[in-house]
Amino acid sequence: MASNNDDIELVRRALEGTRADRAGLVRRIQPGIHAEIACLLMRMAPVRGRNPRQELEDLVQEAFLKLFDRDRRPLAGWDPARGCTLDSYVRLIARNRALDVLRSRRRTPWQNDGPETEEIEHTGESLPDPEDIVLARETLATLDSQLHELLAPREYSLFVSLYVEELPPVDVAAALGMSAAAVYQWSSRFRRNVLPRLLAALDEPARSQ
Amino acid sequence: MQPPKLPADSSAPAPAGEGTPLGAVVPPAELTEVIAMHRAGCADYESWERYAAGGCTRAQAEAAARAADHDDAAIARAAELFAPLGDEGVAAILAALDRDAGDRPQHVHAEPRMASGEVIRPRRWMGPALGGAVALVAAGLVLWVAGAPSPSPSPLPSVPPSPMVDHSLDITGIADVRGDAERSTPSVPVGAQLQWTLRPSTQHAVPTVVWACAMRDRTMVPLTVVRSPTATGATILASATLPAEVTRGPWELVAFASSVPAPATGVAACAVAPADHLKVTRRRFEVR
Repeated sequence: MASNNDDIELVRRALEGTRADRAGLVRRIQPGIHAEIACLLMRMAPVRGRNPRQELEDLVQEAFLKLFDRDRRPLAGWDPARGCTLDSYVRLIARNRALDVLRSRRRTPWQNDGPETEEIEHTGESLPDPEDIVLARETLATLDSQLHELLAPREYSLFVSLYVEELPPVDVAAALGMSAAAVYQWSSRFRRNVLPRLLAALDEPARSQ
Repeated sequence: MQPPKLPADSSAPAPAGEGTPLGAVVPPAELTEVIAMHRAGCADYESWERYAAGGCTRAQAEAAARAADHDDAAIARAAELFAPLGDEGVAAILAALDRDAGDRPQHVHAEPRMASGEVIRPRRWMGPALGGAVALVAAGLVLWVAGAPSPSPSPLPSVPPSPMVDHSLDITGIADVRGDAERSTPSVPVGAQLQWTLRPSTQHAVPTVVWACAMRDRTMVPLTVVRSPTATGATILASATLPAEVTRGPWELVAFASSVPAPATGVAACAVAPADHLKVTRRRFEVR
C-alpha cells in the first residue's frame, strides 16, 4: 500500500510530467478502479449480447478519461489533507462516471429488474445457501434497485460516498465537481424528500408478506 | 424477500453541521441497518478485489467466495469481471488517454507574472531589431498584395459541428457470429460478413455518419461499411465483409459515429481521435 506522500508525488508527476509518469499513476490506481467497477457490475443484471468483460474494460477506460478530463481537473482536485485517500477518491470518480454511462445505456440495469434476475434468484434458491445470507443479498439487491429508482446517478454516488463510505463531504464535492455547499444541500434534500419515499418503498414488500 | 426492519418515522431533525459546510454529513438514523447492509455487501467482494490487484490467485478468491456461500453463477461472473487487467489493460488505458489528449488543446503555460511596479526597459539591441522586423513585414506585405489573385468572396465563418451522442456497439448476427456473447468474444470465419449495431444513448436529431475499422496491435484495416437505412437518431445497423488483411486471430472492431463526414480516408480514418462530434466505440472479435 502506497503512503499518502508517495501518492502525492505520483499525482503531481502525472499532472505535470511525461507519459511515463502518467503510466506510473495508471498502474497505481488501476486495480482500485477496476475493482470498483467490477463490484458495480456484479450487482447488475447481465445484458444479453454484451460481453461483461468488454463492458468492464470500457468503463475502466471511461473512468480514466474522466480523471484526466478538462485540464485534469478531477485528478488535481484530490487533496489528502482533507482526509480522503487517493484510492477512495478515484474510486468515487470512477463509480460516478460508470453510473452515468450505464444509466445512459440501460433502462433498468439493476439486478432486481428483468428476467435475468429471476434466473439468478432461481439458481440461488436451488443451492443449499443459508437462508439469512441469501436474504441479506436479496435485500441489498432490493435496496439498490429502490435507490436507483429514486436517485439519479450522481445522487446515488452521493448516497454511497457520504453515508456508506463516510467520505469527507469536501472530497466528495471535489470528486463530483460540486461545491461543498451543494453536497450539504443535497443531504438535507435527501432527508426531506427522498428518505420518506425510500423508507416507504422498502417497507412495502414487508407489509405485503 | 424481507427488507430490513425500519422505523416509520423519518422526520428526525437534521444533525448539527447539516446545511453548513463545516462537518461530516451524519447518515440518517433510519438508514443505519440499510447502510450496514450496504457495507456488508461491499465486503462480499473483498477477496475478489485482492485478486484484481494481484494480491491472491483466482483459486484463493474462489475458495473465499465459496466459504461465503456464493453460488457458482456468481463465482463465474466475479472471476470474469475481477480478472486482473494486466499490462495489456494498462496499455489500452494509456492509449485511450493519448487519443483523448491528442484531441484536446495542449496546456498553455502562463508566463510568470511581473512584479507590480516593475518597468520593462527596451534593451539596446531592441530598437534596430524591431525596426528591421517592421521593414521586412512591410516589404512582404507589398509583395503579397502585388502577387495576390483577384479577390474572392471571404470564406464563411466556420461553424462547429453538432455534438454526437454516445453510442454503444454490439456485434450481432446469427449465421456467422458464434459463441455465447455473454461469456466469450464473438468469432467469425475469415472473410465473413461482420454485422453490428450502434445504439445511441439518447434520441437525437443529428444525421450520423458511420465508418469502421478492424484493428489489431498497430494494424488498422478500414472496412467498407454497408449501412441499413434507419431514421436519424435511431439504432444504426451496419455490416462489412472482412477483407483478406483481417486474418485469423483476435481483432477489435472500431466504429465511428460522427455528425460530419470522416476527416480522412483509408487507414487515416481509423486513427481519428474521439471528439464532441465524433464518438468511437470498440468491441473485440475473433477471426477463426
